[in-house]
Formats: sequence, C-alpha cells, structure tokens
Amino acid sequence: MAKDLRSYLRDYEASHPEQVLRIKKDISSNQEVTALVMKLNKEEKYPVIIAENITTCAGNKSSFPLITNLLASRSRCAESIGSTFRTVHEDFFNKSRQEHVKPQVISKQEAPVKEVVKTGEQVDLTQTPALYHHYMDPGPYFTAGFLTSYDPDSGVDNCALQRGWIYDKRTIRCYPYTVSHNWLNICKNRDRGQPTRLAYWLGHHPATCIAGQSRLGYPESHFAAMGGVLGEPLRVVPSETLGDDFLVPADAEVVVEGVMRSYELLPEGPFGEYGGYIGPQVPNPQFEVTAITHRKDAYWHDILVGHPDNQVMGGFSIEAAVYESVKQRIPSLKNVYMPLSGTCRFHVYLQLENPWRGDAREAIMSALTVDFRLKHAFTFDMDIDIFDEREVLFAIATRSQWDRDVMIFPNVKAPIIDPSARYDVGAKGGIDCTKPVGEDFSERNSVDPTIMQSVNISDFVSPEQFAKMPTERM
Amino acid sequence: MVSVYYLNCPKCNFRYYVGEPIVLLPNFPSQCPKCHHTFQLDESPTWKARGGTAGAPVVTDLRGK
Repeated sequence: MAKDLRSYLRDYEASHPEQVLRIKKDISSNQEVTALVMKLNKEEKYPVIIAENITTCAGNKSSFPLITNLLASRSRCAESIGSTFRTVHEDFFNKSRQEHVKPQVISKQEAPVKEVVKTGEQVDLTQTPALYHHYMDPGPYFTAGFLTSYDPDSGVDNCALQRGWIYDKRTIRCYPYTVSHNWLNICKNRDRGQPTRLAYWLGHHPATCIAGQSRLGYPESHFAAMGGVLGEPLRVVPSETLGDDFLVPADAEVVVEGVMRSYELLPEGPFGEYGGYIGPQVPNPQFEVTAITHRKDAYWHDILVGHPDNQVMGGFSIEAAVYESVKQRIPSLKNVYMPLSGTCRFHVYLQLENPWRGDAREAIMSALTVDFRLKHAFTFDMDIDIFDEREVLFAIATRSQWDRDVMIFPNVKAPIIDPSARYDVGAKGGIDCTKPVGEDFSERNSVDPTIMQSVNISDFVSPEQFAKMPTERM
Repeated sequence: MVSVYYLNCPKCNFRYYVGEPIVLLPNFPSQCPKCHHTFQLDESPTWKARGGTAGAPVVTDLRGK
C-alpha cells in the first residue's frame, strides 16, 4: 500500500494518541482555527489538529474535515522522514538530494484522488474549509497546496508551496514568487504566448510535503525527490483537464487543476507570511480552475503560515542545503540547526569540531550564500548544544568580541517578508562564537565528573516535592 | 524606502497595507481585503494625506530586469 496521509495518520495516532487532537465541536474557518493553534503553540504544544465540523468562510458546514498543524513539530517531521530532531540536516540532504526515485504512473481507476471528479461549473472552491488565517487576509487561502507546473522545454515537473487566494468559486490568485521555478515556467509560457497549466495538490504523507520543499536545480523533478524521501516511488496519475502528460500525485487528498490564460497582474494579499508578519498586498497573476478531484472523505490540509506548522518543515530543506554547501568546504562541520526563533529561515547555527584557523568564518560565508532568506549565521564549538538556545546565547555572550568576530555583508538580496529589509535588499551577517584556535581559553564551570555522576536529585528531593517545584523560564 | 504603505479603503475604511510593487507600477490599483473594492491609490484618504510616492522610481518589469 502506498504511503499517504491516511497511512501516516493511522500509524501516528496509534503510537502518539496524545498528539492528535480531534475536534468535534463546531469551529469556523474564519480565524478561529488560527487562534486555537496560536494559543496551543504559546503553551509549547504542537498536536495534529483535525477539525471534523468546520464552517467554511461562506458560512456553510464543510463536507471536508480540516487537518492542520500536522507539520508543526520538529520531532514529528523528522520522524516522518526517518530522521531525528538533531540529524535532519544530514538525513534530509541524503534523501532529497542523493536518493531520487522516479515516480510511478498509475491509471485513473487506481488513483484514490479520482474518487470524486468535478469539472467546469461543478467546481465551487468556496465550499471548501480553506482557512481565512489572519485579520488582514483578503479571504481563504490554499496554504498546504503544492502549486505544480511543468517546464515547457523539458517536461519536468516543479512543485512549490505557494499561496493561493480563493478569489471566487473558480478563480485562484496565486503567488509564484519571482525567484521560483514555477515563475520561470510561467514566464516561458507567457513569453511564447501560450497558457500555463497549473495544479494545486494537497494532503499527503508529511514526508511528501517536506520533500516538496526540496531545493533543487532547474529543471529537476520534485516528484523524484519526494520518492527519495518517502522511500518509494510517488504514485502519479494523469490530470482530468490538463492532458495526460500533466501528472499529479495519485494519493493526494485533493487536486485542483487550472489554466493561467492571461498574465495580467492583479492585487493579491495582504497575507500573514512565514516571517511571522503580515506580508503586504502585491501584484500577482490568477488562474481559472478547470477541475477538482478528491477522495470521497477527503481531508482538507491547511498549513498555518507564519507559525511552526509552516516554519519547521520549510527549514529542513535549507538546513540540508547549508549542510551540503558548508560541508564541502569545511569538513569540520558537524551539525546544522535553523531554530524557530529565526522562523527556521533567518538564523542558522553551525557546530564545528576542532575547526582550523579561518574555518568558522569560511563556514559563515558559505552558509549565508545558500539561500536569500538566510540572514544570520553563527558558529559554535562542540561543547555548545546548538539545539538549546540558552547555550547558544551563552556562547555569543562569552566567546565573541564583536570588533573581531562579527562579519557584516551589506546590500544583498533579502526576502520582502522581512519587515526590517529595505524592500528586497538587506544585510547578512555572522558571529564566530568558537574559541580561538591554538590559544588557551578559560574553562566552563564544572565539577569533577565522578562527583557529577554520583549526585542524583532523587537522593535529596522526593519525587512529589520535585514534581511540585515550579519551573521558571529566565 | 519602506516595505509597506498603509492605505484606508475609500469605501469601507478598512486599514491595511500594500507593498512596493503596487506603489511603483503606474496606475496599478489596490483591492480592499475586507470589502474587495478596487480603487486607485490616490482615492485612499491615507494615500492622499501622505502625498503619494513623492517621486519614487517607476518600474514596469517586476522581475527587476
């Protein structure tokens, strides 16, 4: 049986029942789901949320249950790709960059996503539970939908998580960001005076979604990268209205097909974006929907953009790319981590084992060129746990002198999502927080290791008193 | 240069913002996210009060080429 969202949920709910929140109560698509997730996340709780009775933005009860927050936990995302919290950079690099598996084409009769097929006038996207996420949004959006197009020259697929405003029943105003490969495909078609065939597909095994964020060359198939991360070929099926050569994931929950005929730009947004801020209204194209196909009891997958649900999984591909790029030049690189505090985009922590002179600064320079969103790089020694930000800030405080250890690169490309950038130009920088190479350096406070091992809290404090003792975040 | 420009919808007065490309493309309209009214920027009271883009450069190709 092919891996899909259902097979994942069945296994995950069986092994982690406390991590799946099934909501029977009525809840609205209009910001209520976002509010609930924000409150849970503030308590540092990241369950998968399945809203079984959800009201659409049009005010009707949706026939689709909604699933969200699926990708909010780093541990859950890592496990779904056969990795762990601390080894994502290396595992995801190996699976997404090196182990590509060609997709398997199956017939429409075999494809679960073809259980319900609606075309033309039958399509009404306003009846879906697509969420209205934040107060300034213009309406419901596709956020877990992978916008898929094909390179008109090579015929290679490209998938990207790109937002789409459900403008009306059969119109989607989308944001194919101008450095993306979907935008390249759209521009090729536009310049040749031909329409662009597009599809959003949503709802699949988390490994498929995470692999869909892989940073690949152009043209290079995301479907093949997904197969690598899934550990089996992604099953694909011909579209209903875009031709047999336009293949879509057969085990998705929902596929929405459409055609961009006019390349006129129209106002789109504002929209709450991955940086945690509401991105401004910008000009974007729109396309007409020609079909929707889905499973009979399809889940509508939503990703809460600008919250851990979207930030965590998006960081995996950048961690892997940083690992690939820096490791080639600096073999002492051991670990890479992009923390939530930097929205898993802006900060990267690099851990080096016995770096040689210049390694740390070279690592910072290499890392910062990997992705235009990457803004700050920090290097640390092996005794600093880079997955614990108290340790990270301790190292910044005690191992760097900013006249010597700070590097700043002004006037480079920046994402417009960063409100501190001057539109799309900003600065990148790094701080070398490693100890000086070949010089004596003070030791951290410590006690004799045998004494440290012999002293146990439970010898002095009862479990009851320990449990009652309040914790304090400082 | 700033990243966002606040507007008030001339129809429903909803306050929101647009980005640089909308400001710089000549005669490019905005659309109120609340009531979906489409209008030219100089119809917005906020825009008129701030004096528009005050000589910002005009671009026609959003790819920046």
